[in-house]
Amino acid sequence: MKVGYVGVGTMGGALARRLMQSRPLMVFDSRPEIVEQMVRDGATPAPDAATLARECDVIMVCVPTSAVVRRVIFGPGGLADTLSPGKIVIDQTTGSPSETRAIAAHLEKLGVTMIDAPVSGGTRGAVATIAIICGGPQEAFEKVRPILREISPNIVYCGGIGNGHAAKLVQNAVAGCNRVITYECAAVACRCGVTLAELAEPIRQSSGWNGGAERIIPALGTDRQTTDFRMFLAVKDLRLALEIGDEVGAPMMVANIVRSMFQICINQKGPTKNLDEVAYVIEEMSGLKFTEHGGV
Amino acid sequence: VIFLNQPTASETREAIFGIGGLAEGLSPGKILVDQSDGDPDATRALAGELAAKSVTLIDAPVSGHYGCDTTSPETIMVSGPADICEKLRPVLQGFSAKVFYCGEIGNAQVVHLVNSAMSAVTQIATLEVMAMGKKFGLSLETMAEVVSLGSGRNRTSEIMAPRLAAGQKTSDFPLPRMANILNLFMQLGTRRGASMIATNVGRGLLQASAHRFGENGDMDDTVHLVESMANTNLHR
Repeated sequence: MKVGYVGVGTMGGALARRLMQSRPLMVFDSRPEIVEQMVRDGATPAPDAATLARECDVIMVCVPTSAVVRRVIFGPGGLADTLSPGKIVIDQTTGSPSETRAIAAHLEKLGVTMIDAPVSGGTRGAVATIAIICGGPQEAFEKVRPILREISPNIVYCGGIGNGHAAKLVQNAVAGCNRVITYECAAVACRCGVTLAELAEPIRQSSGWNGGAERIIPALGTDRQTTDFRMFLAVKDLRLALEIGDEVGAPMMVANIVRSMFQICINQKGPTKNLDEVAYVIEEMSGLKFTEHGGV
Repeated sequence: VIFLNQPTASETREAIFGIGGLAEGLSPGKILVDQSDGDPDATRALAGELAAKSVTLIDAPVSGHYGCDTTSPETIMVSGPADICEKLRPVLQGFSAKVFYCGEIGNAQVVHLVNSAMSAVTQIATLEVMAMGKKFGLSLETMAEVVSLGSGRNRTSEIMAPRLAAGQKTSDFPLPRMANILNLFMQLGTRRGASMIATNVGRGLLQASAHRFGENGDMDDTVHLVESMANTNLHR
């Protein structure tokens, strides 16, 4: 099966490069300078999305939003112009489940199957072990599983189309909540005179442990970076998770407060700042500086 | 009759039962009037201990103005034994014409906390929604006028917003005092098993305002907090 990749920016580029370690890859991106870099590294360039769709059996997409996915597929010069029955589109965007289901239904009419396969855990740089969270018809999923395995063996199948996106968004929402509750509770400890160094170990060994606390508490005292994720993307993911909550009638109160905190951070610090900046918002609200409470 | 106004419930207790405190000179029949932003449960416990000495404790906290005219009377809520409260009414009316009897001891403090929390949380919620409207392009004057005609009407829409639009001060109620009141209210609600979700978010934002604007901050500073959080300007 010939494989192509559309959208080779930060995330898509990293995933495409992983694939290129085991197979030839055709790539397309609306930004020529990014394509040039990929070609220097061994990729074959496609002049447009339609050409890529004609040449390849499996077309992978990683773009900023599901709206862009729709444009890439159905817009002028898009994949749909040349997609023929039997081909498979794998969407690695962090997207909206309902929007993805609508796109998949549209593709089905062309005899094309869609799989959603967003990734999680890549912001810490470990693409080789990144989690790939999949949804879509099982038969098509089994067909592309070996390709996904070339990216990472850490693959989870969650059922029907859109479920991969839903599971990924839920995971991101939990991570966002972990982060904010960690900052908020660390601020209480600091105001009580407990240093972050003293706080880290008991939390690590007790029921308060979570993935956020483990990385964040030891880093807070020295203002060390814990992630590489821009604020506007963090808010986008939470908004999508809240939209799912809306659609299915889940209250999502805590996650909504976390969304507000992220939005405040964007408004006060700027949309392109790193997610770690939320710490500054919470320390200002708490009247302290974490770096003055590091301890040893 | 002795009036007390202490910053915290434990200081009220100290003023009465501490070394050299009031209790040393209190004789049966005397009346203590607690005007602090107190903790109703602590006040009830104190009243019980004082009753053993045949001293009556009543609570008579004072709430802020509805309007912005500081010469208008504040509201006094009073609770405790009805006959004693009635006897004291003329004295309390010396502070304000608006005196409300609320029932058993501690009730007035509860009503005071409920009123203050409602005022403060509504203020922040209203400012937040108006900041959203402002980002959308609506003027503060328009929002104030329309909201005050409808079911969203409250003190912030009716009195605060038009004054803000005119560049006037709307409150000199100290921010640290309001943050303290909200903390007391949350403690009470948590002890009594009330959910208090919306109130707690409001409390957090007041606490953040208190840190940001310091000792001399007043309730008008919540406008600056909301503006900063929403990245907009409510004044212009």
